[in-house]
Amino acid sequence: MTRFVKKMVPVLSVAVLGGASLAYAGYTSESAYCYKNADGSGACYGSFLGFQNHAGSSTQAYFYKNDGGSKSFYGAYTNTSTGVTTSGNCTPDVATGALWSKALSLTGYFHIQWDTTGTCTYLYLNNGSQYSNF
Amino acid sequence: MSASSLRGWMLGLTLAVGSGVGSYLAVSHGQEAQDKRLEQVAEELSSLRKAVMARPAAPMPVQGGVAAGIPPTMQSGEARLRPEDLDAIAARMVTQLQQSGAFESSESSEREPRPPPAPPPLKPEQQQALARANSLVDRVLATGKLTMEDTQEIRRELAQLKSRAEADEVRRRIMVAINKNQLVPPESPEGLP
Repeated sequence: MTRFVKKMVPVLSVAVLGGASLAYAGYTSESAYCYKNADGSGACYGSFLGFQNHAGSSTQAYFYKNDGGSKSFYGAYTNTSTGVTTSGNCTPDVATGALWSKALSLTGYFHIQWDTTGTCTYLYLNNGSQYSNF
Repeated sequence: MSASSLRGWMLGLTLAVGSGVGSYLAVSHGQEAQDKRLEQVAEELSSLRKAVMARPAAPMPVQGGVAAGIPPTMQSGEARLRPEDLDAIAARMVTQLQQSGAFESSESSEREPRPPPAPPPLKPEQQQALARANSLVDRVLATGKLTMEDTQEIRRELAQLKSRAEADEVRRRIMVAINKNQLVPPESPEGLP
């Protein structure tokens, strides 16, 4: 009996540790997507972690600002079934530009849309716990 | 049922009927008194209204005149404010505010925001950098492919223009071409100028 208990100790320990980590994992969410319309307007949404961990070879997204104040967004999504990459970019209008500094330090979820002139017309930011490993 | 219990029942019944009749009489009497009082109040109000209507109207203020404070007739309670008086007071306040320029200053500042000062003209070296950047963009648009080397060259030229709108226009040409699938961007995340 004693020998059996000794054998089971490591098994039980691993089970307890595994159970504990599962119990405290919390809700997570990873997503990445970009689409474009025939006229060139389109959108990208997801989290940076979702874009980074996506299986598509060119899937990526970034917000950019240089020392001259120029701002832009670039997003690309590679369809893993077809291998086709959809890429789009834009420079912000006044309203979306006001959120740019927050977008640059974002670790959560974003949704950005642009029009046919390459102007970012909509920007949604969510810095939720589920989107980042911090 | 014994005689004594029958007596008890009869007594209880009598008391119940008696209290019911008493309550009814009390309520109906109270209602009657309330109706009379209401009639009295209505009569008093009617007579007061007649008396007020019979009073002579307060003299109208002279148009265009200036006044301050409460008129003596108003202060003594002889005159009362009518809707026409209130309109006249409001109209005079608006006229005086307009004359003082209070509306003008707030409206003009809200409606006509000052345009930002025009940027200084590009320096000769900036003009040359802009021309080179545009010709580079023409070239990549013609080939339909933007390489990392192209990007770095265009970025180097645009760096001389800093935050000028002309630089953003060059970048926008590239962006719109990518969005319309007329230009394939490089795969590097730092792929845009």
